[in-house]
Amino acid sequence: MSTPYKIVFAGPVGAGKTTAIQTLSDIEVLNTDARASDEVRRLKPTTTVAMDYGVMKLGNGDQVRLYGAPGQARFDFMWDILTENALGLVVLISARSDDPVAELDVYLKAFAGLMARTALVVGVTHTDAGNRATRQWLIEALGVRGISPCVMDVDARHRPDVAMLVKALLYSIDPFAGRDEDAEATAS
Amino acid sequence: MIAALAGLPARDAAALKIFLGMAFKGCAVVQATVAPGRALPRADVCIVDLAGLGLADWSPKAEADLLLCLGGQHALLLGTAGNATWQDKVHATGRHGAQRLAYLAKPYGRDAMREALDSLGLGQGSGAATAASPAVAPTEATSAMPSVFASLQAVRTLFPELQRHALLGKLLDLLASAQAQELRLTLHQTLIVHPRQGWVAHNTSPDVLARLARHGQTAIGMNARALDSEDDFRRRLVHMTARENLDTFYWRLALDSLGQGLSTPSRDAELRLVCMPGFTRLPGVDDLALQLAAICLRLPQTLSSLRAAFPEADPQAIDRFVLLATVCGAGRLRLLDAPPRARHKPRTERRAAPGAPQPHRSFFRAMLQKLF
Repeated sequence: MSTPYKIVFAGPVGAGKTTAIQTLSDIEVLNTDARASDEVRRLKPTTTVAMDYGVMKLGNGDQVRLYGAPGQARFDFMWDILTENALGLVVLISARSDDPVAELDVYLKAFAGLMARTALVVGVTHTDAGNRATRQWLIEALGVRGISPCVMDVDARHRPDVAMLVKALLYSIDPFAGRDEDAEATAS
Repeated sequence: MIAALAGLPARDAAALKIFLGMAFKGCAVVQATVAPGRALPRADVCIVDLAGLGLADWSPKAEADLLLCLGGQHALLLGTAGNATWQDKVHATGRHGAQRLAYLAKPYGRDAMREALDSLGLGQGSGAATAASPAVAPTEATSAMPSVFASLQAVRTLFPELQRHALLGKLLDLLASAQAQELRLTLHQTLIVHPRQGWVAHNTSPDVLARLARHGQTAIGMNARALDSEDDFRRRLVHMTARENLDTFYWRLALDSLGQGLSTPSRDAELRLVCMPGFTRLPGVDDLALQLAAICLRLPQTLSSLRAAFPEADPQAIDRFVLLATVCGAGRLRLLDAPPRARHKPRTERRAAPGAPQPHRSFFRAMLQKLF
């Protein structure tokens, strides 16, 4: 019987959550984008109001459900629902942000419960057009807050980047992930 | 909290060390050497493998020896499941005066270990985290972090061939600097390193850099200067055509400089990552590098324990990772006195939110296959 797993993508509006999920998903991503009608409009024409949903179908029959949490704080009631029983958390922060550390802080606070139980990786998007020091600031911010900094630049449209980020998440959950049990038994 | 481990096989001790660091914030782990007639060092709890102390079978003498060894301290005794005598003794006595004892049968899991330690009252102390918080680095390890300078000295001692690469050597000298530094490569080609902001900018091509890295004796005469005024910094930066993260730049340059061959370290060393290297911007990153990084980001690991953890991996690949992670600034290295020796592998507990499906090996395998 296949087992469903869940990975949550979070981050501010325009950080690239929907794109990252689209990049990995095996199905057409279901999203609840709506025409942006507030301050978000200057960033992008549509925005996610409830969640994005994609699926990775694995060779062994398992499924990984990819949920994108809405970026605006007023939809934060969705965050608890989406993170319930999640395997791990991917936070995307844009290097174009005026204050990326403050933006990261929003998600560190909102997902503190999940992070205490499992793993977090942070992807820095839009690095070509943003501040080159963003990644370093985020690394320092996580370090100061006592959280192991796993922060990498990613292009949300580029599958190897997003895949590497998710892979880092898996190895943060279990550094020996994927090792053949028989080989492991032999090794030990 | 201080935990003293005694009699445990190296693999179990390494796994427990990682577990305790994760489950009890700030927990320091002492691996105690047991000598006949001597008590274990002072600790909040002793975790003792009875078989490892030669006390697998209960007898009045074995019990007396154990109590002498514990010196009145709280202890968790690890033994076999069928060892009814020890179990009964511990359950019957439970306490020897103020001393609390618990028995845990092998093989045990994370939850059973946690429960056993809680039964000794360790989960209720102020130093204990409310939940295993693997994302939180133990404060003990953080306080022992070597400086960048000391770390670079350590890597130079461990891998003396670094001294032969002048450009890499020059760049490593700049890594400990707080200010932006300019290094003039040729008349028209320069490089700016900003360790504090984590980036490098340059106006040269990757080919020239790779050539300089490999045949970098010309770099001996290169001089670096601090860009200490904002004006100077901005003026110089305008001429730079490329900018990238410092860790990925240094990682690649070190690979170009050193090639694939490395000397075998004559000493053991301990690596602690301060951040995950920027693997998305490095070519040819394999699973092993990610795994090693994930482990060293959690807790400091020695070269020998990493080799034991990945016995199927080329030891040179592990050495190379340790070197590259250090010279790229993502890791801090500390030399240890002992030479690297074969040890059993450490085990780490998997993280998963309570209620979440516990990921099984076939899931991870399938997921990793899917991602690459």
